[in-house]
Amino acid sequence: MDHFLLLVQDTWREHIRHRIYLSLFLFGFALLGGGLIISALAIEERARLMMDFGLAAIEFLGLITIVFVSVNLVLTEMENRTLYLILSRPLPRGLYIAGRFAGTLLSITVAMAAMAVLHGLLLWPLPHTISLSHYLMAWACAVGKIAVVGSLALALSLFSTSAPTAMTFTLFLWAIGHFSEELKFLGQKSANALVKTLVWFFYHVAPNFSYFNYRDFLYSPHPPSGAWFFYLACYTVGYTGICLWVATFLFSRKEF
Amino acid sequence: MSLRASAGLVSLFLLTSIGFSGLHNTFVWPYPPFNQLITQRHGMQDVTIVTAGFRSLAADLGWIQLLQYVGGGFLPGEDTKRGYAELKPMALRVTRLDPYFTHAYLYSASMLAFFRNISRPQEALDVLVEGMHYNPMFWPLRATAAAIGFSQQAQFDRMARALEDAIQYPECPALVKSILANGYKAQGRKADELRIWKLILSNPHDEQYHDKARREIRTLENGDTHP
Repeated sequence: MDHFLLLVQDTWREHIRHRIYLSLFLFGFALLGGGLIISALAIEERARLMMDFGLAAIEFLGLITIVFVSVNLVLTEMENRTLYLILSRPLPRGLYIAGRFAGTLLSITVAMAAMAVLHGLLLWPLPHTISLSHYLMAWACAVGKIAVVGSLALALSLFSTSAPTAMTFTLFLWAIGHFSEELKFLGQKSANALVKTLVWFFYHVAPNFSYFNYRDFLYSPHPPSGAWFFYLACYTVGYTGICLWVATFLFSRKEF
Repeated sequence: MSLRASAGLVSLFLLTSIGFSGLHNTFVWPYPPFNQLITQRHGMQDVTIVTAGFRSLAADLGWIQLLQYVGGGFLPGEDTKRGYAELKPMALRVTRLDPYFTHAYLYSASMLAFFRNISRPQEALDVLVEGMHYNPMFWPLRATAAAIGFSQQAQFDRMARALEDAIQYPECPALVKSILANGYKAQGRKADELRIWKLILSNPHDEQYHDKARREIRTLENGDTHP
């Protein structure tokens, strides 16, 4: 446990000192401020636009950061050979992967929380119809989505060993994941058995990110039930865990 | 692979399966399918943003473009013989991206039905009917549809009563209230007109109509004739 906490702490320190990480989140704060100007164009729906724009900005910045950071998380250490120093100690590789991932997720969650606080301050003077609990649920779902994407990016980086390829695959899965319900619809409409099989495969294997879009339900008269959140938590933990397991498996097969 | 690692993987699969089947069974996709999106003019923009997972934001940007269209009056290549020919497709574009954007239904249907240089009540009803399908409990849509029906039968009193119901909703567009106030003005019902302008002035949501409301109230209270 001590090793795990040390790895988390070390990864956290490494990220918050990273120039790209800081630049991205400064850009995020600027984006949130820019939302104030854009939302003025929506006239009576200013609060709605500020809400949607802010939540989208928080998630988008979280996505860009986690994809970039997770893909390079182990690859950079392998290239710099700093990994040898760590692996020369009696440290299980699974623990290394878990610790590094947890530290990354923690640093991005903290940045997303800081952006959410700023977003809340910008929303405060506007007449709002969305309660704080709904906002927090939308934010938590975005963090869940970022966790799944991060673990996926980490597994793909160890599979492909090329950062651009891993990033491309992760972004492709991000798009497919938001397209799942449409894929299902296309599969149902298609008469071709091959198309049906491919659609079935992608629908069940690729993560379905539509499930995490609670912010799209903020104005719907049928918000998801409590059970839905339980299932979503199981799905997030399970999917992230499988990706980390695959990452550990791939990492353990590498010889240094 | 050790026994512990295998057991861990199996439990993770089980956990994911429980989550996936629970979500699959309880999740009701709340949007119309992709083939119902209006993609003639801004298809690339909408599909790109929706695919990135920001559907509400795509609807918001569509809403801004709708307002710009209303302000500007025409789009490139548009049939200019009909006033605001693209208003209905642009409204449906927004509402099919987010069918729960109730403000967009009310605003565009009121413009389509009650603006003298547009006056296409059937198109307004088409927009409202779609809104009622997705928002059956949102009564201002029904009240506005009733008002359009009465206005077609030249029954101003019944139309006004229906619109009075619609404007009780706190976030009812200021446009609808302004239409009602102008209707009262045309009927010479100054007390009702004054009441509606005061209602607009008291609502922070209707800020962009506050100057107009102040002017109208001043005119009515001073007993001046309307310009």
